[in-house]
Amino acid sequence: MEQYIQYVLDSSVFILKGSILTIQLYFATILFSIPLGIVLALMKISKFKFLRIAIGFYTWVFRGTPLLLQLFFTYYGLAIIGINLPAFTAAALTFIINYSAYLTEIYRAGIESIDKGQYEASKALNMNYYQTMRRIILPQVIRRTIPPTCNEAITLVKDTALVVVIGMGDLLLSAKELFTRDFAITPFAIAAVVYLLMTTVIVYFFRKIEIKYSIYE
Amino acid sequence: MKMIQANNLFKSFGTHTVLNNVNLEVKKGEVIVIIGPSGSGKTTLLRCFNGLEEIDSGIITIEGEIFSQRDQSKKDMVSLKQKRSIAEKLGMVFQHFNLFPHKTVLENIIEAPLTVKGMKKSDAVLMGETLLDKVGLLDKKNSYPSKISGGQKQRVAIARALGMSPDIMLFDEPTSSLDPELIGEVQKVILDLAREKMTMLIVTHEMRFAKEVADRIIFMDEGKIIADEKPSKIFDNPEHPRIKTFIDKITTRQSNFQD
Repeated sequence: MEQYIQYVLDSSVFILKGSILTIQLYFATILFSIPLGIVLALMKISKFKFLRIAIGFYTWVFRGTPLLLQLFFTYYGLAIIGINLPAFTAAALTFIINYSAYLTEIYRAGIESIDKGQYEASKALNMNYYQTMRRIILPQVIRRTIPPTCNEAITLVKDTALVVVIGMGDLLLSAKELFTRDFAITPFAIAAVVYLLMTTVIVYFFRKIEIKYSIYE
Repeated sequence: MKMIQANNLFKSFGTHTVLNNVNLEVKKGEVIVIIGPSGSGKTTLLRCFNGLEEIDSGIITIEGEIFSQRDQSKKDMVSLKQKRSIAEKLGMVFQHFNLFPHKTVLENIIEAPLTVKGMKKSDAVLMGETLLDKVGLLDKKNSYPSKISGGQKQRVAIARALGMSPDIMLFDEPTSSLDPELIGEVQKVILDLAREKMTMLIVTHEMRFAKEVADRIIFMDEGKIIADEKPSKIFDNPEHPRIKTFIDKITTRQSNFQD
C-alpha cells in the first residue's frame, strides 16, 4: 500500500510537471483570444463591408475546420514553405486564432443583443462611438457573455491535449509515458483528476466574475 | 430668440412619408406639446432635432446655428463635428427610459459629464446629487435601475439629460410606458421644468397634461403639422374635424380610464 501511495505521488509530480506546458498554453490562448475576439466582433459589425466580409471568412474557416488540422497546418504545413515555428509558438498561434474565431461570434451576438435604446441614449448624451462602446455597450456584453465564454474556457483546457500530435510534452503525454513504462492505469486516473481540478478552478473563477457582474440585475 | 427653427423638413422611410414639409419655430422658454395619431411623425420630428434621425431635405437651425441642411439624397452640409457640438444643447428623454443598467442611478447621471465634458469627478457627483434631489430621488443614488420603479427610472432619465446642461429638452412619450399611478410623479418633474422656463418639446398622449403644460400645441397628421395653436383653442374649439375626432377619442378613453 505504502508503495502504491509513493507511486501515485511520484507519478503525480511527473504529470504535474507536464501540465506546466498545458497551463502556459492555456493562459497564452485566453489572454490573447478574449481581447482579440472583442476587437474582431466590433469589426464584424462595423459599417465597412470589406471588414465584415473578411472577418466572416475568417470565422467560417476556423470554426469550420478541425483544430487538429489547423495545428498540423501551422506546425508541419508552414515548415514546408520555409516557416519553421517552434512547437509552442505554433501551438499558441493556432489556439489563439482558433479560439478567437469562436469568441468573435460569441461577442458579436452579445453586442447585437444589447437594446438599441442604449446606443440612442448614449448618442443623445453626445457620447462618441468609442465612449459608447467602452463605457456602455461592452460592459453589458461582457456580463451577458460570461457563460458562453466559460464554456470555451473549459473546452480549451481539454483541447490543449491536442498538442501531443506536434510532439509537445504536455500533461496527457506525461501520463501516456508513465502508462507505457509501467503498464498501469493509475497515470490516466491522475491525469483525469488534474484536468478536473483545472476545469473546476475555471468554473469557480467564472462563477465569481458572474456574481460580481450580476450586481445590477 | 429662436431655439429651434425647422424649414421644409421632409423624411420618408422607404415609400412611407413621415415628415411632409414640416415647418416649426420654437422660442426660448416655450413648451410645445406635439400630439396626433400614431405614425403621424411626432417622434421622428423630435428625433431629427438631435440627430437620432436624419432628414431627407430641409434645414434645421438650433439656436441660430445650422444643425442639418440637406437637399434630397445629397450629403448633409453640416459636418459631424459641428453637429456634435450643436447637439449638446439638446437633452432627450425616451419612452423606455434607456437607463444604463450596469450603472447606479448616480453613475447614470455623471457618466456623460465625466466622459464627454471631462468634468471633475467631485464636481460631477455634486451636480448629480443636486439633480437627484431636484427629482426627489437622492436616496436612490446608489441603486441600480433594476431596483427602482418605472416612474423613478424616468425621473432619473430626466436628471441624466439635465446633467449635460441642455438648453432644450425633448421628451418622447415620457409617460407612455408607465403604470397609471406613476405618471403623475414624472409629469410633476416636467411641470417644474416648465416653471423654470426650460424650452421643451413633448410628444405625449396625455391630453390633460398637454393642456396644463403647453404654451402651444402642435397637431400632426400624416407627416404634416395641421394645427399649431394655444391649448385652449385646440381643446375647446378645434378648427379641423380631424383634430376634434382625435381629441374626443383620446379624452373619452382617458376619462373612462380615470373613473
